[in-house]
Amino acid sequence: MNTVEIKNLTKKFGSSTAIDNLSLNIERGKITGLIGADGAGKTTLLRTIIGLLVVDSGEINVLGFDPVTQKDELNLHIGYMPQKFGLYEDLTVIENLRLYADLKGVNIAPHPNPLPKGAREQSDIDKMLEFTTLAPFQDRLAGALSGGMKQKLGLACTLLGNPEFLLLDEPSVGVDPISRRDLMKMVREMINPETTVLWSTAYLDEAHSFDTAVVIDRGKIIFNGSPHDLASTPQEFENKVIDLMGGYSKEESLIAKNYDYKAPDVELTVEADNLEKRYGNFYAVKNNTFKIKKGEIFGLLGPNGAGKSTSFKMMCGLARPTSGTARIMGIDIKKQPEKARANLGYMAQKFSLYGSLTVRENLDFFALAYGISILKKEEKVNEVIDVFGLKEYENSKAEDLPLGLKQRLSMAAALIHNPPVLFLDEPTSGVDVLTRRDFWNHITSLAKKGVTIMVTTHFMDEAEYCDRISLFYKGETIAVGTPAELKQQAGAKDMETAFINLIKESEK
Amino acid sequence: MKILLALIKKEIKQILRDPSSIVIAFILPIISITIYMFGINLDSVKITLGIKNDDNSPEVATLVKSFGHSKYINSINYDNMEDIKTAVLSSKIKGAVVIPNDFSAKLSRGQRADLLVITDGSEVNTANYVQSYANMISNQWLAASKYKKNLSKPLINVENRTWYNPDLNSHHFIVPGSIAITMTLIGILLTSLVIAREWERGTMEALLSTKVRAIHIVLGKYIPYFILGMLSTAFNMFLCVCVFQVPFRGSYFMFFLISGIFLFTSLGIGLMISTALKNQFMASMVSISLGFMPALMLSGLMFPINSMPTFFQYLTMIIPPRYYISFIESEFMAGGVNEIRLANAFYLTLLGLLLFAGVYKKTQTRLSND
Repeated sequence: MNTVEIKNLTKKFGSSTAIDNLSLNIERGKITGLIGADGAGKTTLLRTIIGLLVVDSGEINVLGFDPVTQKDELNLHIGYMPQKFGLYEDLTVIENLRLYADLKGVNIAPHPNPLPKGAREQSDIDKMLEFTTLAPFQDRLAGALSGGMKQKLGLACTLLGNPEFLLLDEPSVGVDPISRRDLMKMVREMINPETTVLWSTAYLDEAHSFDTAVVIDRGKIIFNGSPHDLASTPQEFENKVIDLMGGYSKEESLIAKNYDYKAPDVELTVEADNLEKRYGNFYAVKNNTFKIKKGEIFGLLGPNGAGKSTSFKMMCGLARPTSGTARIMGIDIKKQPEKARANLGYMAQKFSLYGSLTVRENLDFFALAYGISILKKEEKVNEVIDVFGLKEYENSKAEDLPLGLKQRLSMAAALIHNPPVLFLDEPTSGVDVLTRRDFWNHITSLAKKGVTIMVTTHFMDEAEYCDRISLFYKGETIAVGTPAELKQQAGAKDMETAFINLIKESEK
Repeated sequence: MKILLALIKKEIKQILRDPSSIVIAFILPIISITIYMFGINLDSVKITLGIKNDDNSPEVATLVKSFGHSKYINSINYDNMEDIKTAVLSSKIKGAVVIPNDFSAKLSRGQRADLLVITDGSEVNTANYVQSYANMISNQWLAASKYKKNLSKPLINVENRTWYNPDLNSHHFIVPGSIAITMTLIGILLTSLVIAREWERGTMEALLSTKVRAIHIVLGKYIPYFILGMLSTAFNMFLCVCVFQVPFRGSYFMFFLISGIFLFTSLGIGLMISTALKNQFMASMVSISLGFMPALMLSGLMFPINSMPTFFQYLTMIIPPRYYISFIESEFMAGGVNEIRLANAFYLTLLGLLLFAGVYKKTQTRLSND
């Protein structure tokens, strides 16, 4: 019995084909992972299945309904969580839940039947609050929740009314490993054996644990089957999926090769010295001290809201520490912020680019902003466009680029003045596995050349690329060491377990 | 019904938590009525004039005096033209009257005597006042002077009566007009953001996968903002009538009924913009240039419609505030005139229904291909 049956589906946006003659069956009662690069057609496929988008040609049947003509009936049976979770940020947790309960026609009155003695009367909403552990925060505005909590609330709203068919569009983008694990647990516990789940994701370890994996590339299905048939471990699965997508062959990084790196005379290129940021009684960052050597890749890991981004902003002089300081190439960021920053390339979360400017215009701007002289600008920008493979897109607007290319452009902008130190804040969030591999190839090559790199990430496999890691939790460093040392300290085989164990330990 | 209620409840909470809507609904009226009351004045005020008298007969001295005594004019005496020039340039005086040295001599001979009135053409309104005041005062003086025997009797006696606003106090129509401006702001500017916001934040996508239908989305926006708009109207009315003592001669029932219809129409414009653009920044720009500016310039509040070029006169016909301002001025100053009420209510209802149909039709329950 299939929940979704699709035959020869095609969907075009203007001249580009998002879904190309695709046929797919999704089995009832199974969790199916939908995997693919950015712009591969994952979101379009999900939206088409629930009738938010109308197809150009082909047949589609979902739970016995035609989503084109019977969208309203179909809506009663599904739960759909869009990428931004669909929460009202100016409503509280409980108000969001009540709103979605009303909109889905869920009865939120307490249970009408007499309950066994001692049992508390519970409505669906109470159950959901308890289950998501959001009960203590029920009067907090959704906009004030951390990423992980928003994601849980979004899922709770989607799960209201026990939908037969659950569709989640990249629910775990930008969320830390603990929240991801919780989310997976929630879904598995809340559904019944008849529920079908379609879960789109960029995390291949996540997809490896599903019943079925569907890999989609340029609007076509390139793999459909049990992930365990393809590979027995998540790591191997990732390699296999990369092969299916055309394979990744590691080449010499042109970016690193063309990098004009001048070896500095200091050995410790980045130093944090008792860095602290306090808001009233709340410490966003406390006693943060570390030293990074020339050519080292230093990873800052930690759950959402641990203070990673705040540390980053203080270290590049965007936020003023309440006490302590940081030094870049030995220059105090508090005393000489401009001079210290000149040695720094900073790639901010969400890739601060000018969406309405073209690729070339963005680079022109950043070249001048980073102090490249107007005479050398043209030459420099041309060089960067060539090295980063942006020639094809130089006249496209930045906002029209797929995520992977936005990331590349943002990196090009951060590197245009060839700084000896590079700060990368969640550079790979939401980016597909192939692009990430390519990205890390460049990063490791740059480090080999001597560039110092500080990076934050939620991908634990990426943590393995780091020479040293600082694990951050509630504004404080709870562990520092090489990946191997941390795994040993936590008694764990992989980084993700090490991460979770170390945080649990510090809670005690 | 339950769905609609849930959406309305949600929207009201969002309104209450958004300080900008409260500012527009309740703080802005206070500011705008105060400005209209004290800042803008279209009435004649006391004007300072220069007088240069070259005729030293005692009769003419009384003419100079009567300029000084007029309740509309302050006069300053000058001896030479250079001083007058400087004074006009520095805006110390708004014009000047020059009496030539043969003034009284000509009058006593029964000849036509000249009087020079200089005005500052860079302020057209004031120039007109100066001219008419100078005319009026000199004629009054002539009729009372010993030269009156030379005056032929006028055949027409003009009696002036100003109806509805006997003091010609412009506040009496401008201040109520500010109600129309506030309501336009609530109707167009606030609501132009609300549907676009749902698209931008991705909540619309989530809504569209529930039981929500297009009619719920449309009414779920109209109703809460209608309530907010009517509360603001009542508050405006309170400010006008109770605080600033603008006389209201019409019927309160009619006032709120037709204000309601006007609000319904304005909401239509705002929601239409929001639904079509799906982008808050664009929507706010468009609503100011297409909604608010015409309401200010083309509604007849600032500039009378029948003195506009023909093209613009036709253009005003599709601008809802035009009908509302015509209604509100008559309701305040003349009291209820049923023909005016009916005509304006009819056009407003027509526009409002057209817009509502447009918004409903434009509200999709699917994503478009862009």
